[in-house]
Amino acid sequence: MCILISSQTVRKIIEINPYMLGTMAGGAADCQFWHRNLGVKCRLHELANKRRISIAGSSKTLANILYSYRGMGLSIGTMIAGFDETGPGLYYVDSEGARLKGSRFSVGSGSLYAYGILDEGYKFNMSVEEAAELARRAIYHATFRDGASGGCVSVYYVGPDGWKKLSGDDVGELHYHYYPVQAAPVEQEMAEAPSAST
Amino acid sequence: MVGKNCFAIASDRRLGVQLQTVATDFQRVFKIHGKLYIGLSGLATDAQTLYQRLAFKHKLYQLREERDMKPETFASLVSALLYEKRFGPYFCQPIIAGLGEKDQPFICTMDCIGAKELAKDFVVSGTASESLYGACESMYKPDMEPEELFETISQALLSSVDRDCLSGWGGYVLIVTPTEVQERVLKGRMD
Repeated sequence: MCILISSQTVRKIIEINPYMLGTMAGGAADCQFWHRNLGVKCRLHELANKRRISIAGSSKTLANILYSYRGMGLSIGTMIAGFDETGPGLYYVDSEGARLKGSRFSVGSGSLYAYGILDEGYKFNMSVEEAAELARRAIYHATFRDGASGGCVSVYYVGPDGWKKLSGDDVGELHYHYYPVQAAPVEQEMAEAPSAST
Repeated sequence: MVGKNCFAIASDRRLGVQLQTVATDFQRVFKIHGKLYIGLSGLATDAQTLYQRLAFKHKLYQLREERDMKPETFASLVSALLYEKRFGPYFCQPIIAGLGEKDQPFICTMDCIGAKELAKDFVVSGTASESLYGACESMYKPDMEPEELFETISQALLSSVDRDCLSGWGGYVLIVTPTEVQERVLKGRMD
């Protein structure tokens, strides 16, 4: 199983509109296209109803579209995150047609490794900085253990005024930030006579 | 990779089960004697077993012949050992590198059933072998001194494994000259 790494700098958080974000896992083309399509549907809703669509509504729209394509080979695992009149909303939507509301999710091949860090460090009353650091560490650990995850970590904050990008770090450097190289004492071995050594 | 009266052999340090990374300090380059090294890519258990069998055969050879095996002879030994298992092979692709008579560098690689492939410049194996061929082809120059050879092989290794999701998580380079052996551990991307 040789999987080529095409890029280490893919933007996997798609900005659907200024107050809603979608994450990308699975097929890149599928995610990019259907998120953009969702953005179109959300804008049409705004124009028709003179108010923004709720996160529940937009995630349901996407889930219904994906359900109608069920079995045709779309591969999408996404989280729709945003802020509407009822407060913050986080929904997990996938190409099998599932739609789940929750307070924390992790999606993708490395999701189990990220869940390990996320579940352990999560508190409902975390500050924004703590939450961002937890998310960054969770993604970093997933990239370390999972071969199909890597590249860079982007962290976004979604608040009442919409989303804001907090950080984008390269995972290669993040590893040495969390686990700096310890200088090992240099051991000089006396060279043995070559006849009997292995 | 071959340099001027020296050679360098390098590997990554990942041990994984399909996509999951299990260890980041796995040894894949083994010493047979002071001037002969073998690198074994592929199935980890076969790499370890094959090394143990080869070390055993070499020790017996040393006892009988009272000298170390030449690299060319060792390559033939590995080839024969792999072909013995033609219909139930070891899932390993060895790379053999050594200093032969008059300290001439010798390198060769084999497929998992023992087809020897000699080369004068570089040999590669593993899941990232296609990337490695490209990187080595563009970065290699003949007759490099040990320091320059180390730089070249390290850059070729790190840039190739960064394009393969099943390789990487650090690097390990050995440079062998007639008078000394230098081991270096490379800092690479850990994703």
